[in-house]
Amino acid sequence: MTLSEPKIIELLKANFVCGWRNIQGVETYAGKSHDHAVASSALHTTNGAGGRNVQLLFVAPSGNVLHCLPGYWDPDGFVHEVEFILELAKLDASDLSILEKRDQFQLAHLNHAAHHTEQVVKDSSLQGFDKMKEEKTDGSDFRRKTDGSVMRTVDQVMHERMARRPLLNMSRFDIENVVNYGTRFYDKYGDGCCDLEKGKPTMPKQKKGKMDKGSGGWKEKG
Amino acid sequence: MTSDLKNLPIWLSTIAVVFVVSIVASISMADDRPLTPRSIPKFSGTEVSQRVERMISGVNWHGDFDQAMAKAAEEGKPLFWLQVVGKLDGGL
Repeated sequence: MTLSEPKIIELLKANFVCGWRNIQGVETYAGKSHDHAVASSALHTTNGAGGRNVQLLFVAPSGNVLHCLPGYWDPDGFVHEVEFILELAKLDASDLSILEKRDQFQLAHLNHAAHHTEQVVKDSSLQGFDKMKEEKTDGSDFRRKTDGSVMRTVDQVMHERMARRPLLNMSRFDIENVVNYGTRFYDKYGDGCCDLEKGKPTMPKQKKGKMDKGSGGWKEKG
Repeated sequence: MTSDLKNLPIWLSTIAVVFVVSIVASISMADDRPLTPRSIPKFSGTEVSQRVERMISGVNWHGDFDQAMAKAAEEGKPLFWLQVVGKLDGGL
């Protein structure tokens, strides 16, 4: 629902050329979800939720990728990132050498992440099922270096992943690795899960028994 | 009592100043108010439909990356490229 905010529509119209594509069945990194009609209700979720299902890419006129926001991003967080991206676009268009630009790009991403507000960090926690997946992943960059627990947030990890990809051209941008976290399946009902890797999610515990069996939706486990 | 009456204009002035400052502050903060509606846990289907329509009609969406990139280069603007599982106007 972020992109339908009037202020964000104006922000996009004023500063960007916009485009979109459906990656379902096209890209190997595309996630899975239940079917949803346009008129189905929508819930708020955390920043970065459903990173394989939605990617917000920002590309400089030169073709270099400035940023990638995976999944849902709330309106305030989105605006904050767009302001940063417009500064990166100026850097890309500057007369600096490519090495200097890349150095500054890396520093800018890391500094920006370090200055995220507590609210943004709090709003960017991993979903429960994504956290479970990361806990089973060796070397996950969602682990804290201090105690190894999977407590790091998507906003921080995404800036770090972008800092490791300084001004890469879109043709070389490995988006499949950038959005590689959590499970392949995401659905707005949140933490109800599931046999995710096999694509057979079950109904969330709190929803069991409340859904109409004839309506499709959640599959029974087993 | 006499003292209170003498101070009345001061009180009125103070209230007036506070009132004006509040109005000015409200106006100047209007653009900075949070956009994320934290108090609304869920959007109804009707509102979602209206918002989708607003998003689609409010922005000139290109459907081809290369054409969009060429337009971005021509206008000197960055490209905002949205990738989704599903359709913008047809649900998931």
